[in-house]
Amino acid sequence: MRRVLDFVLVIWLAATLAFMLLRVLPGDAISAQLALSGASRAEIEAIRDDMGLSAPLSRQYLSYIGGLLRGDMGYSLTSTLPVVEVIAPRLLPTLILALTSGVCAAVGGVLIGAACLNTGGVGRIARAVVNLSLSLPIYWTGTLAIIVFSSWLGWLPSSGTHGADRLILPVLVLSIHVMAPVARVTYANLRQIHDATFVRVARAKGLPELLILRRHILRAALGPVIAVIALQTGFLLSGAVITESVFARSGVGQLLLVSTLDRDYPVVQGIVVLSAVFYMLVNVIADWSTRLLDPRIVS
Amino acid sequence: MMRRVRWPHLLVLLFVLLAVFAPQISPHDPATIHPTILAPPSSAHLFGTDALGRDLFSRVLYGGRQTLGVATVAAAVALAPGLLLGVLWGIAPRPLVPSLTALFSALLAVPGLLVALVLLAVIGRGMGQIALAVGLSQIAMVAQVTRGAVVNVRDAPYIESAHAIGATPRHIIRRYVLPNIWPVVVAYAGVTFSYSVLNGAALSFLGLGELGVPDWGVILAEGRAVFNAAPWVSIFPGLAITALVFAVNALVDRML
Repeated sequence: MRRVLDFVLVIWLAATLAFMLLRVLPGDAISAQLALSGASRAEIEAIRDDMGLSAPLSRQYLSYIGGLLRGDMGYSLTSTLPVVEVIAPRLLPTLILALTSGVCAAVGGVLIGAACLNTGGVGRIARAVVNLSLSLPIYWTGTLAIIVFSSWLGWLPSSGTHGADRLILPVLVLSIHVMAPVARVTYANLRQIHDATFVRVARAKGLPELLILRRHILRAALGPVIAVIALQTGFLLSGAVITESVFARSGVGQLLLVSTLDRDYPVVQGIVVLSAVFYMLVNVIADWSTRLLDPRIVS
Repeated sequence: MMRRVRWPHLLVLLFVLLAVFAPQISPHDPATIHPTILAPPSSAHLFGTDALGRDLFSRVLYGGRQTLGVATVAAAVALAPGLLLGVLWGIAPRPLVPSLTALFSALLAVPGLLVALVLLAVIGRGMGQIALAVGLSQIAMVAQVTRGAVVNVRDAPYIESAHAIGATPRHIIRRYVLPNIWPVVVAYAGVTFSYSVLNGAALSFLGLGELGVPDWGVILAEGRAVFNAAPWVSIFPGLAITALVFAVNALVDRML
């Protein structure tokens, strides 16, 4: 119950901050925007009244929050469609990209993190890969991937939204980017747990090393790793904006970029609220699964 | 305490020197158009030339000034208020803590790059605006890390004894808390700088910078238009970003 309250509180705060930033600070930016598109003074007034922008701020705020509760985010300034209808068709491509990359990054990160433990050449290579991928700008790896796999080898298409083959390169690029922090935390945890008492007990019992790894080490190490994976949601969403731009995928990230350039405030505001909801959802799910996995954590 | 100078120090120093002395080092003017367009790397043009026949090596040198400048400003914008808020959050009276935590959770629930984009929607495009937006978008992160460090030392015995001998809160923060969280703050300053390099160049790559002010992100974006004919235009600025961030990260790792 407390969790649900926290969840609602954080979303409400994020929505309020977005409102303050985008509707209070720019002042008359919306009128300026309309004037740029060639609307007359009377038209601007009519549209402002229509959008409820001439009402006092407190009432605007209440109707904004009330609208959010009903799933109404106002109207886009550039297309005059409801914001919900502008965002909805973009949602699925971004969700597919983000979730697939998230899963790939989690699996890859844990595997590479475990490989880092190796004291020989494999470990050295794994550690170097982790350090390198922390420093790689995603817009560069994306471009290089297109040069190599689309242009030189001709294996995969470089752009587009639909179809599994158009998903491979973006997912590859985005998950390499998100994988590194996961691998780092996995490595640090595994190293710590490697010498924990319960692991030494298991070794003393003469259990085979692989069984110890699977049943004792991994289970205890996965909790913090899941927490880090959940925290990567931010990276994942930021990365999705860039990835969608590099690979010309029409998703929410690209919509956010275009709306930012057009100063389409209601759409930007809607996307901010949605990303906060997504972030909180992932973190709540991560919290639950951590509790399930590690019996030492009691709520 | 003396630390041994290692390659990350030297590499970061090299980047700074190259940026500072770009006008003296660069073999050509970065805007001068040469007749040889899209020439591959050669002795005349170390990194080759771009679609307009401009010397890429000179452009990357000058671009470094932009990228390092933006990242430095952004890091300063993030660190000063972030540090202050983090300390206040760390020593806030108990009843205030839940609401502060909720506020910062809300700020952290929206990813940094998205916050920067939203800020740019309000303040407009430009390199200065990018530096400001990238910096502001990281304040909550810095505050969170600082708060963690403050909480770690807050209940230490030496703070307790300072209380006992009647030191004022102000004195305790200045003489006991700040010096002890300093290593974490300095290391995190490096992380902030890395993020600022990556996010600043990302935003200018996405087209939120200024025309005529090419940082590494803009050169990368120019390279995308000609990646078939001239992959080097994409390769070198990206390599510069990666090397710089790699060196700064290695520096941070050595501090922790």
